[in-house]
Amino acid sequence: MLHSVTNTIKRYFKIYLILIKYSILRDLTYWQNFIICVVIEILYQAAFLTFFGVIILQTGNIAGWGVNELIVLLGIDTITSELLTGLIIVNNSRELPAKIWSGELDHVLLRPIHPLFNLMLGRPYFPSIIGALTGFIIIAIGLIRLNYFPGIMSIIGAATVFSSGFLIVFSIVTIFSLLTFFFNDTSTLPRIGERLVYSFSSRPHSIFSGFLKTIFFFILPIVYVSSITSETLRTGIEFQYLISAVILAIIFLFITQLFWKVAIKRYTSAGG
Amino acid sequence: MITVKNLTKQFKTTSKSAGLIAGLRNIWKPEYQTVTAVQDISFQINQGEMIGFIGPNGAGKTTTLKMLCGILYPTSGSVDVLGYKPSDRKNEFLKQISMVMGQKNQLIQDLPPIDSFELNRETYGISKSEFKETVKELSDVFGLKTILTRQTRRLSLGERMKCEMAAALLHKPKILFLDEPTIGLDIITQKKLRQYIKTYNERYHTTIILTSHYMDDVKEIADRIIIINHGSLIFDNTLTALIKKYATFKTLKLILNQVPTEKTLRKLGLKYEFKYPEITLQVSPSKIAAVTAHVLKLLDVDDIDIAETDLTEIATKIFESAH
Repeated sequence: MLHSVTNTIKRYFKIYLILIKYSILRDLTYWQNFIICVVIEILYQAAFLTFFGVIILQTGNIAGWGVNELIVLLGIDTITSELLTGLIIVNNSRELPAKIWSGELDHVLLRPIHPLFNLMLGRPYFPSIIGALTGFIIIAIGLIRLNYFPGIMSIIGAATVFSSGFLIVFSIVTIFSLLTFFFNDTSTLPRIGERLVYSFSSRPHSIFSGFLKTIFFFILPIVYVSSITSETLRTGIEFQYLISAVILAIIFLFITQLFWKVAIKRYTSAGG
Repeated sequence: MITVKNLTKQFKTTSKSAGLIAGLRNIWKPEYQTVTAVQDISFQINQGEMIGFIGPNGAGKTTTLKMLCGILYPTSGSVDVLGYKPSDRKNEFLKQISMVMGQKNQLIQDLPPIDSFELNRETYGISKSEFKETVKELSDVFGLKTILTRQTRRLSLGERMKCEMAAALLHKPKILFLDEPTIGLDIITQKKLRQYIKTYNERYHTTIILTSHYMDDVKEIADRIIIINHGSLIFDNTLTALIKKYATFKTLKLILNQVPTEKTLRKLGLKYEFKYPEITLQVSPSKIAAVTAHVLKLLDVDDIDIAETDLTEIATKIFESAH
């Protein structure tokens, strides 16, 4: 059993490496376009960070989070949103509606590999992945200003919460994208998932209370990927959050799989 | 190997009338239509068979093929392929089948075909030595040597199709589904592709199921024909049986040395088409010997040819009669 799981992970990892390599090759085929995209990404990042930097510095304190804590959160959320954009959204989830309605999904379904792996991760967008690197610089600035250097356990804990949180937001984006199977010819649905994550992952989790807390901690648990990760990095592991993040990631992946099984039955394979 | 029982596929579509008011009405009261693409068909296919799946546009051929390889879920009925239920899309099942679609690509357009092959190698778990050997073999047969490293987007349709075919055969599938593989190809490439499909079947005993609008494909490749029209199966037998059942005449074509008189032509006692030096007669297969002897006595013949009814004509006749 364990051997088979290890082999599957190895196999998917090897395939993913090839897909990454091919994505780079494709980008290099049109390298002028690639350079323009990288430059635009850097300019966008600079504008975004300047804007938010000013807001954070002026705000002073949000729901108990001081300026430096907010800078760390901003750094982690930069990594989240850039990785989400680069790994899942730009060439993958946004392309899904077109693939469904043109019948391009046929060949994906014929491959002995989970179709969602191919559809949601098959074509990374590198300018955004490069953009994610700025997040590490911002985190470092925030931690230096806090005069705090996280221990190894905090880093492992933060990495675990981040990975779980990322799987959760991956699932949310995927589920919204899969709604395309149920509605005619729309590219809006994948964007709802994106907007939800982009809009709420950057907020400190303590601003949510009551009904909103239930939503963002359990129903659409977006707070884990950036906010809880940021807190774990700064204050060490809180087992309650760590376990919740891992369990919710497993539940959301399971729901995504169920949703996929229902959605794919509606595929009509257009185009002959 | 393949067992299909009472297979049906229906699609639910919305029917929209023209105009703004109809469009608005459709928002709160949409009208749905159920289209039956495949209706209660049953058949069995054994290992190594080469099947020609024919029918007019919209007959349900491609839909049936897509249910056989697990792309589409059947509405009702059952499909068993290699002991698997195709719609489960188990990896073990998918590794044993392949599909080439004339109108859709599996190759990555921005990269050379060899890169798509490499991705297939990893996806299908083919060993490096086997992969190298298979690519060499396919490359020799299809003449791919010079095109494997060129960007797929820049290949001609024929070159791309040959690479699509090679990509589909890398993992040596037990069943090969071909959905109009020769569409848009020139005659020479069509012929080469057919030849390779036949050779491949002989060498690996691969089951081949082919849909095509070109009857030459069917005639040259298939040894069994399944005809489907309006979603229903209307014929399932050998090509010879098809010709015997539907070909009610043979064509007798004669090249004459001199123009016959009106009187001589009347003596033929048959319908004919005459444009000197050629005269064509359609004769019942049972009377062909007698008619030939009779015609040779009457006319000064330079050359003679007896042809079976063209498969395209037979197919047209069947489809028209089914309407």
